[in-house]
Amino acid sequence: MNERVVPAAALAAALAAATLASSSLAGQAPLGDEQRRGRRLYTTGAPASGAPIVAVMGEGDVEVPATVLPCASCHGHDGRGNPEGGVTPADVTWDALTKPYDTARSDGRRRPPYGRELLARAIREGVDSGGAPLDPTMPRYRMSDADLADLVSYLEVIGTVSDPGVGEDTLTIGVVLPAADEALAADEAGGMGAAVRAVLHAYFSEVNRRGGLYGREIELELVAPPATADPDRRAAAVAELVEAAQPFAIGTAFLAGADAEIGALAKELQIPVVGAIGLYPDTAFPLNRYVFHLYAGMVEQGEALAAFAAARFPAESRAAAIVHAGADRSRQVAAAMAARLEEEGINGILRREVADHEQQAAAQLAAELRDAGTAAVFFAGNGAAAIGLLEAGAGMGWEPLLFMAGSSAGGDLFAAPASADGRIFLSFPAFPTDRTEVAMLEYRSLLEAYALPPAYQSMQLTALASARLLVEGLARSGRDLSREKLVTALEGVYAFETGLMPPISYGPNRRIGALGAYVVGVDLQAGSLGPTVEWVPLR
Amino acid sequence: MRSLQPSSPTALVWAALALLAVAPSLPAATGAQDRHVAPGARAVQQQQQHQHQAPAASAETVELGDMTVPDVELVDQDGRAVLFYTDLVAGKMVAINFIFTTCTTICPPMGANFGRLQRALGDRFGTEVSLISVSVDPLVDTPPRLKAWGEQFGAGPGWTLVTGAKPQVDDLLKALGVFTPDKLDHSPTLLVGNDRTGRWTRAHGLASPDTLAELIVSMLEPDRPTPAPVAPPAADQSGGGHR
Repeated sequence: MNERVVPAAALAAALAAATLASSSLAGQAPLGDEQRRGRRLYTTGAPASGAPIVAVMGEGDVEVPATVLPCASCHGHDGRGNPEGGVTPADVTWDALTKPYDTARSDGRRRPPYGRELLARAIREGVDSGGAPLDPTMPRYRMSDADLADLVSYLEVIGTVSDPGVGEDTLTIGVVLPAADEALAADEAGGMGAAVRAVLHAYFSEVNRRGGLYGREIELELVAPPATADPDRRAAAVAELVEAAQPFAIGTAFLAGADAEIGALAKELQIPVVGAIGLYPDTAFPLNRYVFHLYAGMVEQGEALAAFAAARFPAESRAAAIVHAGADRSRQVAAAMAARLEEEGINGILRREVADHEQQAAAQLAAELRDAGTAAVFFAGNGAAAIGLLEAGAGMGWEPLLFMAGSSAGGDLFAAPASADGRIFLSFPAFPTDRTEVAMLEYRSLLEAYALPPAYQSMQLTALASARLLVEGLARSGRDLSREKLVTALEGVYAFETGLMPPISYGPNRRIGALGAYVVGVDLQAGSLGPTVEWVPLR
Repeated sequence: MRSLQPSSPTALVWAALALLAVAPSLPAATGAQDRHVAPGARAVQQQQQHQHQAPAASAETVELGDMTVPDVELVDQDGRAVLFYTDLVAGKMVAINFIFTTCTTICPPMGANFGRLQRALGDRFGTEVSLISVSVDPLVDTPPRLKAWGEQFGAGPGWTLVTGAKPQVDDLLKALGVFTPDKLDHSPTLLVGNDRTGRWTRAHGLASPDTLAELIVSMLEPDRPTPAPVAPPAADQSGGGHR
């Protein structure tokens, strides 16, 4: 196994390096710079630089961005063409284009062999190598000479080269370790990053020991971005890993606040991220096809809390208020809670913003909500602020139900006033009850066999779940592997059991594996969670 | 043919091909929708052909040209429930194409065509003429997915994209003569109809937007005969596809 830790000092230039190929670093990279830029153009329609590429259709006045009609859309990622609706796109592999004798087009017309110049003319002007017009469904593309040269260079090799990271007997997988203190990230012996790295190392060593996947051993390339507040720097660290190590896919990925940035990077580079772990999965349409999240995020958990409350406490839910912190993310969660309550037929509930650590504001808000007859509070903010509100309420005899995300509440909530006992409900994307005996036995045997540091168990189990998902996706994709095949295979995953978290399902419209959340009661007297533990599925 | 008024050599080619390529009359509706119609009900509907029908659990049918079409409940790109005939077609001039958002070969060009057709129709778009895209893959094409797809092509108000429950959508596609068991086989058909005159015809969804606009405008006028269908845009005489 290769393991790399990118020091903070190396990150500054990473963003600049992201689009400039540095294949010499990678050794096994199959494509030259021109071809790699051409590949991106072929699959996405995006130019390497400069003006956007335009696809011109029909008699010349239907113009759309080439990103809507990229080459790969019709001719396929392998260049062989996707016949559809009576249109048979040409095989554009170099062998097919350059056969040294006249060949028949799918419409029967014969054409001489193509060369670079004639192919460039076909792309720009819509005429074949013999000067005859191409089928009008083939757009003419307006692009710079440099972009066209890149594209033709890629067409010279399309269908003959594997995706990055796919070797004859190796498969390179990237891993994004959880954010940790910079000191700990570099420390082999301790920290979350080390704990996760150790368990993944152990798991894939076992996979490889049993023969790997279709004769390929998994090689991990790890990056431990520093625990910086700047998501761009975390994404830059991932970009640098992808450039330098050329992984086929990113397996486990702790996004740690850089959800949007790392997601955008994956889309841009068209690299699957299998088993992303973050609080705000991007599920907007058009869907980012490349990022497969394990768990529901804060927004989805807010919806689950609302659905749970409306079903279990209908009267209190109708007299509810939503209280949120000032951050955009908190507002987003509050809006999702309100929308879900409306779906449940509960309209027009109060929504209030609360500032952290302002006792006076908490007292004012508690009084207002008490006077409004509020019986339940949906809270999108941190645990300390929630307690402040509950304490202020307890002082004036106002004791509402409280619903909030477990990850925001933290351990603080156990310090809630005793009057709140049995009245607090927290959401969790997964819960220890998911863990099966068999899966835990396997985990413990990994611990023993590889002498793993017995730390950060829930992080380790999450990493293991994502690793199993990746192996499942790879197993479904077969030996003839491509990134597109992996994405398609994962879209077919339904109710996949890792034994460590709720069953995972994806689909063409779904990128959250365990779409739902547990809603769990808080037992203040015992200082534990329970007895209510209910899985609330979403959509 | 006179209503086409070809304005360019290419349009002449289309007009010529129209004679060969597509039969002018619409295929008779398949038997699929018959189960929605009690024998007595059809006569009533034929009398009330263009009046609004109350929504029912099992869709009422209406006659569109020589098609018998169920007024199925669908969902538009904003998630609103709509009745196919009552809300989208009744009393309107419409052009309907059939797409799915994961379609890679013919649907993006059809989408681009509709986007351009919006402009070609000018002031008539959204007032006199509506565009409709019906998903042939309702299991995957959710409203937000359709919305994002339409936005790629600048879909404006007046271009409705619909999906729905698969049985209802399939019934509709069968009645419109465009159903295929495998969505990859679906054809780039464009259905053009004026519910006020009761005239319907078929065109090729990849024909030039200007030609399609001409066809649509010609059908707006009540005293013209139903024009010949518009054939595929062929750059040469071969007719087959090659890209």
